[in-house]
Amino acid sequence: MAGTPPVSEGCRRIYLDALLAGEHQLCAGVVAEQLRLGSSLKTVYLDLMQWAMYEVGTLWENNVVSVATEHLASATTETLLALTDAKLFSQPHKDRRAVVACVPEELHQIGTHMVASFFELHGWHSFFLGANTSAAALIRSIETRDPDVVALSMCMLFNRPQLEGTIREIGRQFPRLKILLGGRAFHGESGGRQAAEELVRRYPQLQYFDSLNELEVYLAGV
Amino acid sequence: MHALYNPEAGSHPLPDDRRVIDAVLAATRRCYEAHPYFRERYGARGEAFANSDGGYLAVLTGDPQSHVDEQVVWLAGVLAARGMPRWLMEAHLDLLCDELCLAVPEESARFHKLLNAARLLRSARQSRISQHDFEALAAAFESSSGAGIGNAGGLLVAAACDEGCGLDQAVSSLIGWLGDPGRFSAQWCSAVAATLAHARSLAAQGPGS
Repeated sequence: MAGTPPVSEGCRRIYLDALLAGEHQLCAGVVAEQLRLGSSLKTVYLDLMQWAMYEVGTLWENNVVSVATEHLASATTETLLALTDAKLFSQPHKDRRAVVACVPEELHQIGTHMVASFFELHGWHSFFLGANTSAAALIRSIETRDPDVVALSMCMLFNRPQLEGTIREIGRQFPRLKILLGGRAFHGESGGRQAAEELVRRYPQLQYFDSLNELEVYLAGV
Repeated sequence: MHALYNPEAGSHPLPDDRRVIDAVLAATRRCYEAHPYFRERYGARGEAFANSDGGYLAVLTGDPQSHVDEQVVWLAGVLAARGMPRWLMEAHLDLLCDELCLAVPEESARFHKLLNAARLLRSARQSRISQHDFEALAAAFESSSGAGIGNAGGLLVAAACDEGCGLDQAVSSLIGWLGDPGRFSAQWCSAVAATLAHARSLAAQGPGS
């Protein structure tokens, strides 16, 4: 993130407090100010929004905030992502398309939304299908959109059977289509990482990305 | 509707095998009988969570041991911050394994992953207070506290162990209820405070010091 002003600790704290309090306007103001100062959207996504949501998750785990507060923070973050999307769609695009979706049963979609926005940021047309996308709906979307890649995200490792079913279905109908995979499910100390390695070995169409930074390197090379 | 389904627990897999489902329900019943604190504090809502968690843990045994351990440690930490010391998860895992092995003996090997995970939690607890001291403190509480909730001494000592392991909310989330003078007698609350102080002191030193 060289060349773009970082998000200060003070700014992060103001944003997090506002997020927990449900003060959407203050959150939006922090994001707007950070962008006005010259921070890239990537910086805002990773160093502010993603950081804050990880903090909210930790606070929920420790019983410091309720599940309702966590849901409120998620909803606010989704709204802010939608607001920043407007900036993305106005920039020049190339003839590259990505269909982006959460695997079936997966309900956590904020990270996936960020991935879709990340494609846009790099000039791709992205089609974000959201949480809990069935294999059938995904296949229909691939038929319609004719993407260069499909990006799948999974947050909970117990959704792996649904992920594998989806990968097999894509492989059966679109054997040459590249499938990009990522998500928090694979960030675990042991189980997650191991699962990602197994999946890549099992499905040659699949490429795993550990972070948005890795995805960025990939997009820069395409 | 699935017998273990709990809408509050969100979306996670549950077992399909009727024998496994019955074993999970039986484990919850035994856990609630052994630890009346569960029912007294969390009632039917807590029981629904114990059932859905038990179902998830049973399904989890199909995964590698490392993933079972990771999920159990995470879940036990989440519960410890909500007034359920990890000692209760140890007990739940032991009972789950017992019931599952009885119900589906041909799959005992995978169910034993739960015992291995329980061993991890036990080892963390005993890294703060030895089993001998743990039992002695818990027994001393039972004999000095008067009327209250059975088997509560272990909860207090276990919460001090969890706190010693870095789970900062473990004690406060327990005694906010278990040491509430509006709910329990002065004798009980005084025994809670004394047991907790002793357990915290031992946990800070570590065993064998």
